[in-house]
Amino acid sequence: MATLSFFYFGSVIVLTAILVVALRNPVHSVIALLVMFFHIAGLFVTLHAEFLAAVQLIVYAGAILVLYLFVVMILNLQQDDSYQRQVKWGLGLGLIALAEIIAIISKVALPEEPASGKTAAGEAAETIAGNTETVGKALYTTYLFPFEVASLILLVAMIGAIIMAKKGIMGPEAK
Amino acid sequence: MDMLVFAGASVVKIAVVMVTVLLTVAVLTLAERKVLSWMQDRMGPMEVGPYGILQPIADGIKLFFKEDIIPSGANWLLFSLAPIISLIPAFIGFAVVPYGPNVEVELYGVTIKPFIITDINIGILYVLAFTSIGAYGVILGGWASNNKYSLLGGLRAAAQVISYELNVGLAIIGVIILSGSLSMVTIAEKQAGGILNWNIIGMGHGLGIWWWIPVTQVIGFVVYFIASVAETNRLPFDLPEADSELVAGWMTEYSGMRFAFFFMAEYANMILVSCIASVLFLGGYHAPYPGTLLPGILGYFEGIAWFTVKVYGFLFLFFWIRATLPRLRYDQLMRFGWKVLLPLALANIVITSIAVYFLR
Amino acid sequence: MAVADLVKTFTFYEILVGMKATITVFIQRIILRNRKAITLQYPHEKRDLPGTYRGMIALLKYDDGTEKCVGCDLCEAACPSRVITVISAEVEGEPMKRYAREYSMDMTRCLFCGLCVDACPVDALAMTKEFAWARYNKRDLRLDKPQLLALGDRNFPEREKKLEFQHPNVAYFNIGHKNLPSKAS
Repeated sequence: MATLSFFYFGSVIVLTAILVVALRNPVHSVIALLVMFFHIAGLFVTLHAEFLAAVQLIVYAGAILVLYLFVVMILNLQQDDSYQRQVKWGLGLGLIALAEIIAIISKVALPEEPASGKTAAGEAAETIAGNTETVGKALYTTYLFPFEVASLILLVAMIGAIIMAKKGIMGPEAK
Repeated sequence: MDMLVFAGASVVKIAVVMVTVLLTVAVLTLAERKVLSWMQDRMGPMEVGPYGILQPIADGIKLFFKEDIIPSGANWLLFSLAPIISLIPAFIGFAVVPYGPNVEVELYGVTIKPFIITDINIGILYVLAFTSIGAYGVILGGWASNNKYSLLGGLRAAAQVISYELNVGLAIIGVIILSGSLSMVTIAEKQAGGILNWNIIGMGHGLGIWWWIPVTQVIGFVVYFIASVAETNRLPFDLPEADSELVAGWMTEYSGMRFAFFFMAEYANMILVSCIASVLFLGGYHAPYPGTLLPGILGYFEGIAWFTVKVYGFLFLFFWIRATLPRLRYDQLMRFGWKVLLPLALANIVITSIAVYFLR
Repeated sequence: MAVADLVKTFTFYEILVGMKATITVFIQRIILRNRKAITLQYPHEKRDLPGTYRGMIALLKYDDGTEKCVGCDLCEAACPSRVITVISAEVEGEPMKRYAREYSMDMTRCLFCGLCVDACPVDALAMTKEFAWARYNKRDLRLDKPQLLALGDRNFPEREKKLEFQHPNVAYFNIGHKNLPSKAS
């Protein structure tokens, strides 16, 4: 059951991820991305990480993708095919990524029966403490420093965006 | 066999909730028009049936048999998909709402909770996640119509929903801190024992006789309510629709059943938001007095009755506000969301968490 | 003052005042039942129209059933929208007495100003209180003489006496005075 759902989610994720870059209409690409986010959330649920699944939907599907859609609609791209000329770059980067994936897969041999023992352990962990609580504890003890660094980076990005959007916020009107 | 009984019971529960929600939607379409007209010296629908009570059926038949028009410049796929995308999230959230006490019943050797469809440990996040998906229906519907009014309505909806979803999320964090759980069932259970223990007053969390004052969720409640009115695109925040400026916004090009889907989604969202507000802030199925007046099984139904009363009270409040207030201007809406509600919600979180940290 | 304003802002005072107004009406309507809606359920209840209401135009008859209209064309001349078309003719066997052989009104153009009614020397035209004249076909609004007479019959059941009976002196030019009344009896 777990393997079945994994393969379902995995194949849909791969398919929609390809569709995101392959579809000509940018709005259709956004929809494909939305479907992909849903399936990633589903993957999290099968791993008993419900909190991550919900956050995945709220943050990525609910907020970030809406902003993408916003931008796509405002720019009103009409089947722009400019990205079709990036084949050389795409091919090069794709080959590097493919090599990486092959390297990783060849190193980690797939265990034959991963489902039974692991999910039982997951359920046991879940019964001890709430999934959300575990994430929160880990975030604020073990991973406190990376967490704070990430928030600092986001803060910097936010301030940068505000300064870029609001011309003239620094002193007199700067062209 | 156990699995079968469990699945059967779940299907029955889902069916009951769906039918109830759909009936409530039908009642609301009439109730809204009636309440509005009673508040505005009018009569409302009077023609179909005595005092117009059959109006929802007439409306349903009319919408069902109306010609289904897809504009020639529209994107067929997204145009058909948008009403469904907005309807499904509106209904899916009802799965985690506790409608009655968290009791267990033995049925053919399987324990079943008759008043709760499912109790997942991230219940409230689940609802938030799916309500945020509902915005896609609006945006895509607006874009796919190939109509400038619809597009403007869709874009307004996008901006508004993102802005106010944040406030909804932050407003309920105070409650989550107090309850220590994201499960709506647990949150409702922790408010047992009378009106003073509801989260809006907040005395039921084991703090001292006077120290509950910093943890009252009045601010959270007000922020949540205003933000949820905005998120359901109701007056005075109905800028995406804006009948007088945008000729119904993203719904301009829709007719027949597709329009009915949007309509049902709007009302189902109202019901969902009311359910969540009554569970999170007003004690859900708990009566304003400790315990229940009726004994045994009747007591459970007393709880359901209280829940219904609260939800309908909220819905009445929606109508009441709509009858009273005019529409906000767009910049006022954005400023109100980001500069008034957001700081209030953050202040609520800070005060509540400090109080809980030091007092508990 | 500033403090009071702040308190008002944070307690939504102004909004609550407005909401009080609406709920007051609601309670009066539903609970106290001492307030009525101003709505008139139109097809079931109709309001009284004033006596000077200017509705559809009708042609009138005298009490003996003859038409009042003498075919003088003055209404056609007076009409600002060219609604009226009159083709007048002599009455058979009564030279100098004329009538409207054809009389039609294109009500799609009529602006209900009432100038034709004022212009009529024999009071053959009158304005009824009928207004519900929506039609599916535009041509149905081009009324001919029988329709206009029917309108008059329908709306003015009390007919006037013939002109010479009410004013024997002024009606003397009418040489077909077969029915001239005997002097005041």
